[in-house]
Amino acid sequence: MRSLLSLCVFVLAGVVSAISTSGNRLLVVLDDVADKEGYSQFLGDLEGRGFQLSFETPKSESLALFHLGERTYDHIIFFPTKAKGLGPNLTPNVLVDFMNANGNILVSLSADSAAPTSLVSLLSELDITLPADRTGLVVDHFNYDATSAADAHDVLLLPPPGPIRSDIKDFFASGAPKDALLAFPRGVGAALGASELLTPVLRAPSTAYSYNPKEQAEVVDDLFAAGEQLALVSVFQARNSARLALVGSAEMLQDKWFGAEASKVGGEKKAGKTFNREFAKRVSGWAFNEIGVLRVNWIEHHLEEAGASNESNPAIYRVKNDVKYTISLSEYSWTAWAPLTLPATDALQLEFSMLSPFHRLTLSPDAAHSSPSEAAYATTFKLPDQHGIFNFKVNYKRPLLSNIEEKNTVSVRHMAHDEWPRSFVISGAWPWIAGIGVTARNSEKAQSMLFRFREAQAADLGIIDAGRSRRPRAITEQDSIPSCEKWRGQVLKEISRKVSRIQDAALSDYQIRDLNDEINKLMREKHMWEVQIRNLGGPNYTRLGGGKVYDEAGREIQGGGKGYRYFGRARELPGVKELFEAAAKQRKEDEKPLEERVGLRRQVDAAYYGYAPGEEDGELLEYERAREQMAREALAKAGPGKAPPGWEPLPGDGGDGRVWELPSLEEVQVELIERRKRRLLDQI
Amino acid sequence: MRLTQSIAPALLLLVAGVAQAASGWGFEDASVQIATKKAAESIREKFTQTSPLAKPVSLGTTNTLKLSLTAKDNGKGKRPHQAFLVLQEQESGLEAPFPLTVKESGKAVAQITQKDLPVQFLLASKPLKASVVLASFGSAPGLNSPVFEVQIEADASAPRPAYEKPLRYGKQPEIHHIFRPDPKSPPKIISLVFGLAVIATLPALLVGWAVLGGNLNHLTTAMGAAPLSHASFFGSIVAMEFVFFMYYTSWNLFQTLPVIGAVAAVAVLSGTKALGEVQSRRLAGQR
Repeated sequence: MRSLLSLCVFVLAGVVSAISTSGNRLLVVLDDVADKEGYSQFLGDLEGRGFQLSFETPKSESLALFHLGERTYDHIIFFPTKAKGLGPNLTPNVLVDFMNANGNILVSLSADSAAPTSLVSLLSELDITLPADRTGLVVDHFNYDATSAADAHDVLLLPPPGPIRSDIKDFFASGAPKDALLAFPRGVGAALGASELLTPVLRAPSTAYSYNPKEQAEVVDDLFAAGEQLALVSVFQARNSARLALVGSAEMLQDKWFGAEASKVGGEKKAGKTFNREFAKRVSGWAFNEIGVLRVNWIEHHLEEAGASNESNPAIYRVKNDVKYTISLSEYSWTAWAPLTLPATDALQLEFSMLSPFHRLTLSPDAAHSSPSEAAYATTFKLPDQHGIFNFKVNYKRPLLSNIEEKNTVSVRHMAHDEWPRSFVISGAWPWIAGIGVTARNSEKAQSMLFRFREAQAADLGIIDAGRSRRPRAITEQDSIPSCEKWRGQVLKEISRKVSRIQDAALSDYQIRDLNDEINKLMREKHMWEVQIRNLGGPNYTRLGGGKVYDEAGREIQGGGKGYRYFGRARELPGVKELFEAAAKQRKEDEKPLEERVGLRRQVDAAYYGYAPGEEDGELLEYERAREQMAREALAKAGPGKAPPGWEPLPGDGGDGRVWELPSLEEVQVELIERRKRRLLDQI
Repeated sequence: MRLTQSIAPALLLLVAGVAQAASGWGFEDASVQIATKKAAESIREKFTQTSPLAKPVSLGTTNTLKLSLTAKDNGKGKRPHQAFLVLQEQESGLEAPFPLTVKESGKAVAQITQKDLPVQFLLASKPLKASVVLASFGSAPGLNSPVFEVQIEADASAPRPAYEKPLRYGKQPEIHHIFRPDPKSPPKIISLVFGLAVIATLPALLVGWAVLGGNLNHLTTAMGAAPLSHASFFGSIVAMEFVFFMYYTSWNLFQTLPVIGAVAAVAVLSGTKALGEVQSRRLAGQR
């Protein structure tokens, strides 16, 4: 810890000479380099604070924000430009890359010229919306400067903005004189999204509104935003703490408004000087990391228990240990690091978390470890009664302050075997401890004479408690049928228990394989018991089933009968599944042979082609000839229309001339419709 | 300019006082109507610049709030650039402006239904404050006067609209881990009574033996036959109990095992002799 401190001091000494915490190369983008005259005081102030200013126009070909992948500037100021875009060197993509590389941007707009599309895209990426057509003018008929805009009402006079919430430090208005006024001349208001990274610094008064002076000079038909929804100056801080400030009115940064005389309309006081210069300094200072930058100097945690070693930042703790955590923080304020002080309603919080926080505690200032350039915050707490890998986490993210997210990982082990309270400390254990002193143990009881006597007696009588004693391994040596039956029943019980367990979806493949093995072993044992029962002259259980297993469709299951079988989820194991699929496929092929050419041929024999047996030798032909002759004679005798005796009449032979009546197509249709009707009616 | 400045305070007083309509922006013929689907049930209430409606008007889910007025500049009908009806939620101060549609003559109307309002307004517990803002360019002072209050009637059958507060960085509620309760023991007196009851069985046993005629006659013969082995065998058993006691109280396994080994060796060596002696007596039929 001592060495850490001295390192901090060394770092501190290096930083003091630099003006901003993140470099001093500042790029100023202007339409015309001559325009900078208007901002000479603002730019002079920046130079006075140690920034190196480079002036470029958007069209300049030498302008590049990156060189060999490194930022060439630390900060950028955009002043209003007439051009629609900002050229290929300042596309929104490049600007986002610039912010991703921790570059800071200050954008100023003006109602006189439309905002460049590049900046509009960048701002919309950050959830800041500018008025439609990139133009808008904020006016307020109730809070305007009567001196300079008595008619147009487009110079807003506002009090310096306080913090937006009570738990946020006042960066922009602190120390301002009571009657100080900010002039916001001819500016553009923006609407902010719900992002937590955005903070409005200066909001429009409730009677202000934004309109398009070109199209809505007469009537405000489509209102962009009004009142406090209009952010005149707003800031954005990315997750990497890169900053962007949007100043709606570039004119408010100009020399003519620095300390200018302004008088609010209807005000009773005389004209006062504007607060613009100080405000411009603070907004630019915030954007360029001169204020509101936080730094973690060191973090220390140790056991806070009597008699424990005072080792710093150990990697392992035990559950329910008392632990002290200290973090030292500094805040940069213009020229030097100062101790971080929190507003009364805010708190620096420590989370002790595994996945989610178990503790979230407020850290309180620790004066003993603080110095003029750092403030230590500490807390002591008892670790939760849960072992695992935990994090000490300080996640201090607040609007306008750079983000702090510190994570220190420690293991928390459970109690060791010798860290529990001794049994004689636990009053409930006293009778048991006394018992150990005066009695013998159970295993000795088992050896006692009485026990052995009873056991022998039970064995003689053939009463054996099947539930309690072990199933004998030597099955063939068992010579009583009832005990064999009992053992077989026990095996069956175990099998059914395991077969239902193997369906459990939570089992792993290995567990399933093991279970399946056990079931197969039990099946073998069951078979052996059955054989033994049969040999002893008992019922023959083995005959049932015949060793084959059938599925619901009556087909035999391969691998289902004798030999190794698969149960439940074991059938879905890799390897086994393929086996069953292959078997099922084979079965399917066996079932439909007629569809295949080979199968068809198998059914075709000589008879199919007319070579019927007995036809060649003439016997059948002779018989047929004889019957034909008889029929002809009978017909000749009986005459037409009458069946000869012993003959069945065919339809149409009835003599009434009626032959087979085939239904006509219409009749078939009628009948079909009738049937369908009936079926439908039945359904109803 | 100097003149207007000096006049301004006086003007302001005037405005704040009585004759508001006389100078600057104002309105006349103002009314608010809650239109329902059935025209007969519509409610129309009139108000003026100086006397806002005392009772809040209620806006149901199917109703439409219609505001109509005539904007006047110094008593003459004129179209102002800014003519808003501003609704304000009282608790959070959230405001929503609704521009009025203004004709050249100054006649202005606005129609609002619940659908036009932000979600926070629909969930407001107090009535919304409505004020009319009329102002324009030039020197005429604008008007921003409260006119009535709107009570939002929620549809009882429909679920209330959900409003999720956006994430804001700030202090979070503290969390203190709740520890599992420590294992509990019965009252000490009960443990003590039963512990003593268990211990009391040992003297009871000894007394029982004494009463039933346990004899120590062989002690002298045993000691006479093999004094060293009997003494060391008994001593090793006692020592073993002592080792176990030490293991229970303070020693670890690696301290215990060698001592057990030593004591056990003594017990085995002396035990064979001592028990052999006992066996010889038993075989001799001495009981």
